[in-house]
Amino acid sequence: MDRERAAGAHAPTGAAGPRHDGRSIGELLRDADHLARTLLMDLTAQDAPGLLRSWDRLVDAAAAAWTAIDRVGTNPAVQPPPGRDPDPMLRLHAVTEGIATTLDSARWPGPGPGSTVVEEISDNIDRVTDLLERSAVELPRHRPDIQSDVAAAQMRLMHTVYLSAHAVTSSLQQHGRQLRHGEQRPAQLANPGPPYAAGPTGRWVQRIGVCEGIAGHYVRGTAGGFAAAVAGEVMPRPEDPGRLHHELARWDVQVHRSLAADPSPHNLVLASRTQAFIAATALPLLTAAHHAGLVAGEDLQPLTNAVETSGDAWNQLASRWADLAPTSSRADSDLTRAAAHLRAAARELTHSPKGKPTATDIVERVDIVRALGSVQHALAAAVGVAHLTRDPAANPDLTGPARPLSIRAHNDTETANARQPYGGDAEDVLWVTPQDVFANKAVPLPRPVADNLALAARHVVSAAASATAATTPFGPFGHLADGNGTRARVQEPGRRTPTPPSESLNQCTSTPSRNCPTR
Amino acid sequence: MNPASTPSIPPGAGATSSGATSGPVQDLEDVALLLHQASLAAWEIGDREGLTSEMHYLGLGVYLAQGNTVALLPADHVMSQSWPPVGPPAENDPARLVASAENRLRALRADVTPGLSDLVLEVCDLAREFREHTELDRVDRARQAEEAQRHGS
Repeated sequence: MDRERAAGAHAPTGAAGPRHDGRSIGELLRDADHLARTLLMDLTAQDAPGLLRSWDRLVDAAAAAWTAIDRVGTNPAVQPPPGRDPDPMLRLHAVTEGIATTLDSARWPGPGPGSTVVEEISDNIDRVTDLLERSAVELPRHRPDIQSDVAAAQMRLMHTVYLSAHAVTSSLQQHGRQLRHGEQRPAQLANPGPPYAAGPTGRWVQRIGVCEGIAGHYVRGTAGGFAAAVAGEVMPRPEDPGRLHHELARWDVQVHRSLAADPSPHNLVLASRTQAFIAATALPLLTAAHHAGLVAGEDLQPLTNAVETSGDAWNQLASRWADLAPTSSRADSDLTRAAAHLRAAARELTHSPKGKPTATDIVERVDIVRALGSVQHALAAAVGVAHLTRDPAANPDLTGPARPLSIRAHNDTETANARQPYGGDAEDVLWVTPQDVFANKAVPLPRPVADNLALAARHVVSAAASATAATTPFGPFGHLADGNGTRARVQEPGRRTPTPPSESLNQCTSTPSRNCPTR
Repeated sequence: MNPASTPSIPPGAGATSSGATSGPVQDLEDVALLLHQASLAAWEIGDREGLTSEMHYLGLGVYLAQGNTVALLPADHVMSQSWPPVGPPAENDPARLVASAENRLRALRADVTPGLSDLVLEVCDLAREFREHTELDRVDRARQAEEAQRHGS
């Protein structure tokens, strides 16, 4: 797998070219960090020369950005903890200057192209410096949230350098291993240092290794490590509230296609669990809407009940289909991808790095009206999906693995008997033979299992229809009751609530529409 | 991850002369079983806790990863086990199962198993999400216990 495809598969959204780059400082740093991670994927010996050639440019860019961040946000009253390097980037830069001088005159790797990924990382970091120098004022350094934001930016920068250094040393070692195998000489295990640091790569491994050590010491030396430091980052509002709408629409199209073409148990499990996830996403948004005064108190409970019932019905159906989906089931790749994208998009709105957000947090970060409109549309579309699950559930020729079906048949029979006024049918029916259970053979569905599967599918249809009816006011051009009992028109999709001026480092951008303190 | 465009291990690549699987194919099979067991376990907890349980979100992620793992197996591969083993409840902790899957993936090499890197990234992210959930859960329980004690006293 080539690195560019890997980078694209997991790239954060919003990456743009150099001329119209509207990314904020935080986004540029996150993108740089992400690109550094992709360096480590599928690393080969052939990458070593390019990585080494691009190394000094990366550190130059990082050093300039580090200084700019320091000027903006460092509180001079705050001293680094004891034992902590007061300026690790200064040391890193000094070591790299020495590497660059030697590189110019070294026979290996000699002149040639650099690494396109490292060049892109360096471009990102150069833009960070540019933004800091052009746009950022002296922020209120005494504020703890600013200090956390600045610390998070520095940590991301250093982490990017750390990962990149590790990529260089790993690639150099692979290069050395290749040389060893080519020369058919055994590795010098008794010698200090990496055993595959052969020939000219040895000194580069050691010197870049020093840089890796400096950066790694900083990353590991912070209390709580990288994750704790970046948790203090001030996250911007999701810049594209349309992302959820887009992913829900994409899911809607794909689930219809996939279930129409191949209503396999695996696809039905995935479809049902994802539909339940959509319903679960609606619940905190409804609570937040109530908190924002968009939903009257007396309306909230029936709304959440209807949505919750629909979600529970989808989960029950999924649980039954899971009995028929063995480990080896092949997933529809398009359906899998659509579900994964939807999962990420919904998560962005309803969760934060610090844990489950409150209703206030959601209202501040999310365009509630637009998000609810998207979810309502998806809940309405769920009725169509529900109908697609009915026919497969009624298929009399369904088979499944004996073991889970035996357990399910037993549970369904027990449940049915418990509902009977006199304890139900006392006769113990053997739905699946012990031999079949032992071998986990594919067997036809026992009658109670088949009946309850069909019943669960019908229940999903009715629950989905109820949820749609209940949430219709949130659809486009719907009406909501405000707190005074009068009916107010919902904001039309596309009209966003005003974004408050940002006072954080990571939200500064070059885009005029976003507010940022300027000199 | 894009399994449709990611080449899987060629058909027959994992089969020995006796028909048994070996090497990366066996490892991937084991990872798929672990992830399948983890998704079932997570959803079982989620179904008990209710619609808004974090386990539903986590279980969905694990199920997607299981599908992506199976996609890396040869097209004609027949798994030696079609269903995860039924073990005691202590061994059915989804977080532990995902961590085991992550550990198992370390034995594989990306240059031998095409498309592996994305799967590793996916499973590592899931393992981290489970750890974060466990930690947040622990903090919540401690806070609730403290409040209960305060009200009791």
